[in-house]
Parts: sequence; structure tokens; C-alpha cells
Amino acid sequence: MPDSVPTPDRSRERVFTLSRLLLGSLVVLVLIPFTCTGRPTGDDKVDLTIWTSFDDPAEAGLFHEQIGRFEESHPGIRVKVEQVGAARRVQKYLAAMQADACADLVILHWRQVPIFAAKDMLVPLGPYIQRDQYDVEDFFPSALEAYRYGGEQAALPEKGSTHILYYNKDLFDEAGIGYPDDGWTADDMVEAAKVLTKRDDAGRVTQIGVIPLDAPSWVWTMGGRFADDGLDTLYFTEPGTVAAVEFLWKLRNEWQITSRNLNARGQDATQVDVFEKGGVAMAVGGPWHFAKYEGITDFDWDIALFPQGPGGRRTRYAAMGYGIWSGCEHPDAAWEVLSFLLSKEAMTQRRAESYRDLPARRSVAQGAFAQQETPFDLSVMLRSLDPEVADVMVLPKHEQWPLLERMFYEELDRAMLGQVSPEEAMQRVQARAERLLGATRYEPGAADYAGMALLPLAGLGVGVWFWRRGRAKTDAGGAV
Amino acid sequence: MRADAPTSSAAEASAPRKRRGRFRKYLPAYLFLLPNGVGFVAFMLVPLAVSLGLAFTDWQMLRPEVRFVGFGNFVRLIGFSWTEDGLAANDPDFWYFLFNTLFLMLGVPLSMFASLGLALLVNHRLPGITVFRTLFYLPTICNGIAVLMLWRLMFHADVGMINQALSAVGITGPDWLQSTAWAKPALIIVAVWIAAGGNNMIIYLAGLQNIPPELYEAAEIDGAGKWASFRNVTWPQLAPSTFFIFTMGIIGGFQGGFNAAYIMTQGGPAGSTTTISYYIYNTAYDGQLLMGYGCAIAWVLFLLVMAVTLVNWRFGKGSALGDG
Repeated sequence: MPDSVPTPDRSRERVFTLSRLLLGSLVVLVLIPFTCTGRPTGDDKVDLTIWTSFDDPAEAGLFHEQIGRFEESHPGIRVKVEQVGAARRVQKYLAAMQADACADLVILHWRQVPIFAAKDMLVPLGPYIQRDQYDVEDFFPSALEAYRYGGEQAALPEKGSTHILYYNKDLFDEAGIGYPDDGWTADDMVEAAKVLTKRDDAGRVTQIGVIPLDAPSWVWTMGGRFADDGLDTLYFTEPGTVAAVEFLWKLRNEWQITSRNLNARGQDATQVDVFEKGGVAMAVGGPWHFAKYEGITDFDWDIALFPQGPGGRRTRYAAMGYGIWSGCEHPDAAWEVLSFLLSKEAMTQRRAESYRDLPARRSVAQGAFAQQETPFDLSVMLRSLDPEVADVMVLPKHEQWPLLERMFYEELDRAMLGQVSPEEAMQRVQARAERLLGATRYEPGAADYAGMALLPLAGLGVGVWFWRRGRAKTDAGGAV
Repeated sequence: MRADAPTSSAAEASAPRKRRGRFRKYLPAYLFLLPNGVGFVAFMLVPLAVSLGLAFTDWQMLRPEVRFVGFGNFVRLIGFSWTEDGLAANDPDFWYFLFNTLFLMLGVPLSMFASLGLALLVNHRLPGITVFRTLFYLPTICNGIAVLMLWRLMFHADVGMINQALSAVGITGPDWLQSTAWAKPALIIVAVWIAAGGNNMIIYLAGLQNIPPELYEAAEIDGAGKWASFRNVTWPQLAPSTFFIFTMGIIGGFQGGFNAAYIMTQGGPAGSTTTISYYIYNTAYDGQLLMGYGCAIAWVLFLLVMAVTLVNWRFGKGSALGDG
């Protein structure tokens, strides 16, 4: 009896209603972007975006304040500041530039300049500098050099630094050794480290003499070099370069005065900062360590110049700066912002209360920056960039350099681990680099074109085979 | 013949109606599938097709020109040529990094056994067993980067917890992450630690709870001990789970190793922990931004994964599912 009464299929109706709703939502979602784009902003101001990052909240506050002042003095320009994390910054820029959606002004690590400049992604600043007679002479020469590519000023530096030697004063006092001074050589450092390294009864190092950190600085200091900017000539097998590798090898394996965890870059492979924990007498580092070390209360520390070697005192420069993306619709306005942010006044205000990085302008570095009270000898930092005291070097600026550098570190690792001799290691780098740079372009031949024609057919064949196999199995009873 | 004609034309007329009816019937299902389908096409199928196309070009990211190079990237990647020293790989790095990847995949069977062991342990009905199950599962839900950074500290040769523990029993621990011999085993240890109590343990646990108790009773009546029960009842009954975990582990193993290498070793020392996926990243996103070459490596990796999976499927499926 109940079977004879037809009941309306409500669930089916509900499903249809739901599906209509879903379709409607999809249509709305598709239309949203069209309603958002091209909407007039209501005024004729030029809108610019800056991607930047800050070391601390105080710097961020000053930056925003300065942008506010800029907007007041330039009523036709509106600037939006967006923070980008340092990690994966390159990937973000690459994706944004490729999608034509990058910010007008971008913060750039000096290493990123060749990557973008080689692909014409940065507006050359030379014409603007000339037009406005912008006072670039005030910048440290090494800072300007780091942001130059192919003879053009691709971007401008904001802050930068080079390597210095941190030392634990308590451990020096305990061992009765004089503190490092401007005259210190690599040999002095090694001799001191030998005394300052402590071992337990089993011979294990319990107090590390020195963390040498930067392999390129040692290569230059030992009289070696890498390559010219065009990578036309490679110098990996030069005696000075080999001597530097030998020096680093000896630190770890012969004298055993450094961390067992030392990697090819000369730093702790696990990135544990043993100096901060009081277990290291000397460590090469940069001003970026100040943020960590200024909180040390267990011992006294100070900084000294990087030691000298047969090649003099030659340290690597590292910096942050700003560039204008070539896809920027208003490069003139972007230059206005950039030149304002890197002006003496703006830089003085931002860097007068932060000693974590040296300002790229000499006048600021020697002026307000140098007046700060610091728990260490700030003049060392200034002297480390003085051409009369140290040669501040820049690694080759070529888009293929990161690959060559990786090869160098891989072979340096092998040398440090005793798998190859220092000389052999550098010969291997030279050979690998020459092979990479000398690789000829592949010209496709008839086989390539024939293969390409056959590829879709092969794909189709595989697809048909799978389809027929699936059908056969279904017909046979749905076996897996 | 004539008698058939009206029937045939009626059937012809009803065919589109049937198709329409069927379309209406399945329309809601298609609409529900549509969002996912659109996402799949936009974010999977199209990028896949584009990457396949790019694999035959020398395109560098950010450069407008795209030059067709045929199989040039593949020749450079997996080809060999005669040099002064004899036959040499065109890209020796690829083979070394493939070796690293395969070596690190030793962690797959190890983590499987660890998962099985943990599943056996937590399969007992004991008070508080849920706490243990949760604890074992924790590494899976913990932030991967944080976990890897902690392991990096523990592997420190001088002050790391592991070497200090070894030192307490009179063993001088190795330079875990700064030795070409120990860096890979260190990464395997971490991978096993993370994977042991994760999803694999859950799959094994589900498998264990699906084994009919009668089988154990029968085994007991036949005089089987614990080991014989495990060997003859548990292990064969878990074969489908084992097959699934192994297959997925192999696929994951080929594609994996990036996070651990990126966080713990940066691919070093001397490239000894650089895997294929890390190589793809370095090729496509560093220096010259060789996206075309990077895509070629990715497709070779895909073919490798597919070949190994098909072999696994062909020879493993029979024993796992019992259908020959």
C-alpha cells in the first residue's frame, strides 16, 4: 500500500537547487576580478609600491615616517610600503617580475643585482644620477661597485658592511694574550688561536680558537682571486687561491683550532653560534651579529680588523640597496622616492640610531653614525671600509657566478674533508667552471624535430592503451 | 526490414533524448566536480603541459626569448660523450644527485619497519594508549622547518646532544653534517624519525585492526608462537598496507629531500646531500634561472618515478593483493 503512493523526490530537488547555487557562485567569482580592475582611484596621483624589509621595528617606524614626509612634499605621488621577508625574496621577485606584477621599487641584496640586471629587470640609474647631479661621490666606492652591472649603476646601496674579527676579551685575558690590533696578521691569529684552543683529556676541542667564516675574504687576503666580472679569465688555480684553501684546511685539520663543524663557507655547518655561548675565542663576522651579541652578559667582547695576509687586508663587501623595476610605469616618480630615501638626510635619520649596518654614505657613516655609544669599538667598523686600511672587495658580478661559487664551495668542502688536496680541489673547480662556461649551444637537428613529431603520437598511443586496458578490465568484471 | 524501420527511427529519435536525460541526471555531479576540475586544470594540468613544452626550450626565467632546443636539455642531462679521459656524463652532477636521492631512499624501508613496530606497540588495548598514539603522531603535525632546525642543532659535532650522549659512553661521535660519509645517514635518521609515527603508523594500525582474530586463534591452535603468528598471519595480512606504503614512499622518496637539505645542510658538504628536487630548485631559481633545463630534470624525475612505480605495481601487486 505505501508503495502505491508516489512521494515527491525532495532530495533530488535539493541537489538541483544546490548545484544552481554553486553555478551562480562560480559565475560571481569569475566576474569579481572584472569588477575590481580598472577602477578609477578618484584622483590623478601616481601610485608607487616599495617592497622592503627592516632589521627592527624602530627602523620600520622611521621609514614610514619618512615616506609620509615624502608624500607631503610630493603631493602627486602616493607610496605604498610592503614588507617582504628576506627568505625566498628572490623567488618572490622572480615570480612577480615574470607576472608583470612587481613593486616599482625593490630592496635588493647585492648578490641579486646581476640576476635581475642581466635580464634588464632594473632601470639603469646612471641617466637619473647625471640629470640630477646626484651626489654619488659620497657613497663608499665598494658600495657603489657592488650595485653596478655591466658598467651601469643598476641600483643604489643603502647600507653595507665587511668582515671584522670578534674576540672574547675574557678568554684573551685568561690566556694572557694581547688583544688583536690593526697590525695583526693571519699568522698572529693562528698563533693566538693555538693558545686559546682547549681540549679535554680525550683530545676533543672544548674551546674553539677561531671561526674563520668567510672563504672569499681569505682567498683575497692570501693573495688569490676568483675571476673577472665577465668570467673571461678564471684564477682558481693561482697560487694565492690555493694557499687560501690550504690555510682553511690547516685551521681545521692540521692545527685543529677551529670547529669540527666548519663548512666550506668557513662557518658552523649547523649554524650554532658558539661565540655567543662563550665557547670561541675569535670569530670572523659582520655587523649583523651585533643584534645577537649585544645581549651577552657572561663575558666581555670587542671587535678588531680582519687580519692581514700576503695579499694585504682584503675583505668581502655585503650590502642592501634599492633598485627600480624596469616594468615600473612611472620610473621618474620612482627615482624621486629612491633618491629621497637614500639622501644624506633620510639616511642619517634612519641609521643614526642603528649600528647594525654601516650607512652606504661616507658622510653619514663618519657623522651621526659614528657618534653613537656602542658596547664595542665602533671606529673599527669605519676603518674596515677605509681604503687606506683595507681593500673591500666585491665578488664577480655575473649571472653565472652563483653556479661557479657553488662549485668552488663543493670542491673546497672536498679539500677540507681531505678527499682531495687543495691544489687538486682548485684544479677541479677550474675545469668544471671552464666546461660550464665553454658549453656550446645545442642546435636541434632532424632527429629532434622527428622526435617532437612522434612524441604526441606516443602519448596518444599510451593513452589509448591505458583506456582500452581499463575498458577490458571493466568488461571482465571490474578487476583492479 | 520494413517492419524494423519505424522501430529503428524511434530508437534514433530517442537516443539524443536519452543522452539529454543522462546529462541532466549527472549534471549536479559534474557541477560539484567543476570547482575542483577548474582548479586541477588551472593549477596542475596547464602548468604540467607548459613545463613539458619548456623542457624542449632553453628558456631562462625573465628573458623574453624562448628558443626550441629539441632534446638538447635531455641530451645534456642524461647523455654521455667522449672526452680526453674517456666516456663522461654530460652532467655528472645529475648522476651524483640521483645517487644521493636513491641513497636517502634507504629511509623508506627503515621508516616502514619503524612504523610497523610502533603500530604493533600501540595496537594493544592498554590504559592511556591514546596518549602514546598521539605522542608518536606528533612529529607529523609539528612544523617541519622547526623540527629540522632542532635536529640540526642536535647533530652539532662539538656541542650537539647526540655526540654528547655518545661521548658519555666513550664514543667519539662523527661530524654528522660536515662529513660526506655521515651527512646522508643523518638525514635518513631525521626522515625515519618524522615518518615512523606518522600516517604510515596509522595505516598499519588500521591494517592490524582489520585482521580477523580467528586467524590468530587458528594459528595458536596449530601451536604457532608469537613470531610464527607474526610471520604467517600478521605480515601477509598487512601486505596491501605494506604495498601501499612502499609505493607511496618510493614516489615521495624520489621527490623528497628538499626541505631537509635546504634547512640542515644546504645540499652539502660537497653536494653530498643535494637531491634531484634540490637540483631542480637550484637550476631553475639560482644564477641563470635555467627554467627550460629545470623542467627537463623535473620530467626525467617524473619518468623515473613512473617507471619504478610501474615495476613496483607489476611485481608487487600480486603478492600484496593476492590476485596474481
